Amino acid sequence: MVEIRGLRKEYAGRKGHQVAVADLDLTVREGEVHGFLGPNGSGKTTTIRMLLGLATATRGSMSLFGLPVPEQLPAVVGRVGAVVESPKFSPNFTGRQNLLLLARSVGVPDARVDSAIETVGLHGREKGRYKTYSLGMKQRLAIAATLLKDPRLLILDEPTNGLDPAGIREVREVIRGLGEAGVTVLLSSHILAEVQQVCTTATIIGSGRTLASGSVADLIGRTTSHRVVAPDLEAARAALVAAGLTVSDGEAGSLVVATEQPGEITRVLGQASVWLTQLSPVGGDLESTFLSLTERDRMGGGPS
Amino acid sequence: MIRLLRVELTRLLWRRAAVALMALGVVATVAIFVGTVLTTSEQSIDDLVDDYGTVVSDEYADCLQHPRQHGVPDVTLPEDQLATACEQLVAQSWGHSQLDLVEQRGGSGVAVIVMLTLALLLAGTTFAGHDWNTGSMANQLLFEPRRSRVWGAKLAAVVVAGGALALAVLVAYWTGLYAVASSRDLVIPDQAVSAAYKQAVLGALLVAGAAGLGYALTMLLRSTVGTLGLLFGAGVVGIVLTQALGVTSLERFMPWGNFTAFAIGTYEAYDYDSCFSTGYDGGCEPTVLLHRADGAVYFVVLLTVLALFSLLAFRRRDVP
Repeated sequence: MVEIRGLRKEYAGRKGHQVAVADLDLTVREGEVHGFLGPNGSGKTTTIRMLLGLATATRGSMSLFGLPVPEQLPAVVGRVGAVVESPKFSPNFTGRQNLLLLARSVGVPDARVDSAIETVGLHGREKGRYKTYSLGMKQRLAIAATLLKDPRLLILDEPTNGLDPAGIREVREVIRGLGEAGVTVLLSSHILAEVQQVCTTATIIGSGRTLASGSVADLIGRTTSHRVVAPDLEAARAALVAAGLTVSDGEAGSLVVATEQPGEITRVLGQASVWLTQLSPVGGDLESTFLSLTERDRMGGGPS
Repeated sequence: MIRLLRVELTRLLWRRAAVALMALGVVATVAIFVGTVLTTSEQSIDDLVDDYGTVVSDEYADCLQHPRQHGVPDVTLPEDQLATACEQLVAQSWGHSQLDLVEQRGGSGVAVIVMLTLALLLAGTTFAGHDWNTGSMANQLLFEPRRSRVWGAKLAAVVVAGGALALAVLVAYWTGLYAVASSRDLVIPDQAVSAAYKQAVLGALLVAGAAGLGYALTMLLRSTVGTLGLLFGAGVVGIVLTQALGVTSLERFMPWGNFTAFAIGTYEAYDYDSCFSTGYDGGCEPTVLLHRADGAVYFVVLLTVLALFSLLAFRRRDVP
């Protein structure tokens, strides 16, 4: 349903070309609720903006529903609902006026506007000016806008940003409900718990590149780093760093080494005559996987 | 496309700043109309005495005593007719000139077009600027990604709304002046009314073009303030360059001369250099006559070039 291959985006700046997205791959299959994870500035929003035709790609290919975009975007846009970054509507129009203009631009009957307002719980406030809305109400209006087209694919960029806990839960339930109803969802977020709760599959990116992709269960189960305890911790650190491994401080008296291969750790430490007292995998949740992958990417390691 | 045009017309009419600017154009027209009617009304000797003091009554009394010196053609008139003749002569000297539809085409008629042009230029600018300032352009493109269509529908909305408003206001203006002139039993020359309505149509075209220009420029610069700054800057820089470089043949390329030529039919632009380029013989008039066609070509070229740049930029550039 969403296929991205080798996507690259460069910006010309004063200091030369800056790479926002570097040869990124992403696949979202029909019916998936797919998390799109990455630290701030990793290229999530830029990727989504290119997918939706708001920004042009320097190179690479993208397709939605099997059709190449942005060339064929007009043919598929009616099946795509999207919220990109913070909601942006005309502040002096009411919430309903904003939705009416969008609905009429694609020939959607006015009645669906009222139904979308009802769905996101804005009934009774739809005649208030948009600028008087709280951030949560603005997010809800943005989600209502995506529902106008009866989408088969929802692309949501940080949809719970700024919402209170109750609002976050409501939005997650809306997303989960849409997923259960067969709507494919691409959910960009840096809230890992949200992705873990809502998504079935996920892609983790860093520095504009794909670091890992697969089912959330696989990503959680994947051990990407190990905790090391040794009598001489500094000697262990020096040996591991000298071997090119990424090492960070773990809980008291331990090191965390970013590698999926425990044998590599024992080999390096054995050669340096540093004896281990404990070697255990770190993982078990998406946060650990995410932090391990993005930390390694930040330190200059490649995707795994 | 028609659906998008309707949406954009609705968006324009829901936008308070744009509507306020259009209303301002109407209010300015009403003010010019009232001013024109008042400043062309008949005034009695008593009104003129109130305005100018006893110098008027003295002149009137002197006319009654020495009618020949004041230009009364028949000094043998009976007393009441002589009084009327003197009243008319004094009123001609001191009072308002009569409402003349031909004269008004080059005066208040142009003033109304200028006011509507400025108002709709700003309305077109603020209409486009709002989409960029609020970031709602991206939202609109998520529903209609064909950027040329979006650009075209918005342009059509400002041009249609601006042109229709200007045509209605200008036709009402000239109809009002015609009604006033008729009620005053003034002689209305043949063709004066049709020429006035022709100017109303031409004026509406200018206003529609100005609305389109404001829109296209703002779509290019993506900022209301940027557009206003550029227009202001271009005006100031144009004047400064003309003065600083001593270029005296640029007036023919300035908007005002071409605007007037298009609205009225002709405009005499100052062109000192023309006398020297053709060999100054002492009798050369340092002017060049701009015709309506010159003004039309000027604005069509300006708008076409600007619109093309604006559209290409909108199609190619990333939308924030």
